[in-house]
Amino acid sequence: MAATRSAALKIDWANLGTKLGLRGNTAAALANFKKRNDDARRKVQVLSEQPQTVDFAHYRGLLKNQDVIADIEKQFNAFQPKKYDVQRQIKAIEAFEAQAVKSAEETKGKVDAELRDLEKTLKNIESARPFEDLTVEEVVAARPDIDKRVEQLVSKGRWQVPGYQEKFGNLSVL
Amino acid sequence: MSNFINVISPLDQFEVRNLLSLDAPILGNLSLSLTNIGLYLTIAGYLVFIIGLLSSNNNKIVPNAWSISQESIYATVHSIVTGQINEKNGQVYFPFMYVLFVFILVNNLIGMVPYSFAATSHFILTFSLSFTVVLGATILGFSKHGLKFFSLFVPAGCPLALLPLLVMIEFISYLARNVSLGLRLAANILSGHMLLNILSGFTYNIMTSGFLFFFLGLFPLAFIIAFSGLELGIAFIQAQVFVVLSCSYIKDGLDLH
Amino acid sequence: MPQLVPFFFVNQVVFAFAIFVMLIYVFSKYILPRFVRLFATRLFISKL
Repeated sequence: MAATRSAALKIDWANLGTKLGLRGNTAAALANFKKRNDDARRKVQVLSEQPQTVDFAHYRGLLKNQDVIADIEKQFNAFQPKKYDVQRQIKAIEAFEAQAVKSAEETKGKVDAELRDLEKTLKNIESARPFEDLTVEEVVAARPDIDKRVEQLVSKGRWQVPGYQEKFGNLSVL
Repeated sequence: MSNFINVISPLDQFEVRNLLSLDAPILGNLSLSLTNIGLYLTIAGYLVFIIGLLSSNNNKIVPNAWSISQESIYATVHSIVTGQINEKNGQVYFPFMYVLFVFILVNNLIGMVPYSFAATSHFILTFSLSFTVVLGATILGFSKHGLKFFSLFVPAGCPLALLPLLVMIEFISYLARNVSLGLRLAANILSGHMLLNILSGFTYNIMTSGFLFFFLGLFPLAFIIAFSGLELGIAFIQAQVFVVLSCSYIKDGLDLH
Repeated sequence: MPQLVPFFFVNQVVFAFAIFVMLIYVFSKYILPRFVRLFATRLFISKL
């Protein structure tokens, strides 16, 4: 118990948000969690400072009705702070943590792959000549299916690519 | 004899002359000869081919002024063909119409160059083109509809009593297409060139008659220049009209109204 | 009008049709498909 508490105390809440670059929902959830944690700790603090014993002898001398005192004393002595079985919850938290770590790792892999892809594209763009110098031959060399499509269109007697005029407008003078 | 004036007919510019000939007594009496109209037709064909080949901005995707003019002609003829014949299947006739348009246009424009020769001002040439187009459209109609092709001559919803007369009129108008298509083109080019020729002859005479007349002659000269601009427009419009009418005749052959 | 002389008539028509047919062949086989190819390429590029 002491170990976990110290671990909880060690968390640098102020830095956590900025360090991880959290934003939006996640940051709000974190702030909420911190508030709950603080509230719980304050409650424990307040409760543990209150006196935990009752001077029954004093009340016995004061009150005539000894039965009530005896009853209350019995009940007081019988009272045991309820023990919560934290173990189960910790287990659940651990399972959740494992799941979260796994999905985070997966996401990281995905992001890395995407990043590599983007870097490749960027290099492609940087090494490519400006768009003004791009020729039809180069594009067709990269995508031979353009030629296949043109052949198909022309052999069918179509002299316009469907969707072209919607995109680039009609140059017709009339 | 010294003040003999050589009067040149305004029609002289349209004379066909033999430039180069080879009389070869082989294959019967074959006589190969290059006339001036043949020369100018060859130049026009060469120009059409070279402009079509070279004005592509080195095959780049982004066009320059040359290739955008070509694309504009392409889109114009394409919209004529799809608009007149059929949105989808009419496109089969597009290459023919494109070449027809560009060929007539370039021949008209070559005719605008001073001292050159307007090949499209010759009725023989334009008639041969127009007769070919109409004859081709007729063959197309017969091959597609058989004898039902003759229903083209029957207007929809005409009274039976008037039928023989109307069929006669329709038939004559169908035959007149042959003539009117070629006549329109050649007559426009011929008349424009003749008018320019006559006007410039007058203006030349005025301007060479004296010092004051030289400045007086500037007015008809300005008129001639304006008229040349009009002729330039006519060169485009006649090529376009020829193609539009050819398309509508082909459509008649295909769809029978 | 010399173009009505049969010789010049035939000469003119032969020239016109030879050049015309040649142009139709060259254009429909080489030059006009190049336009379609250009359009198809542009359309492909714009979809990237």
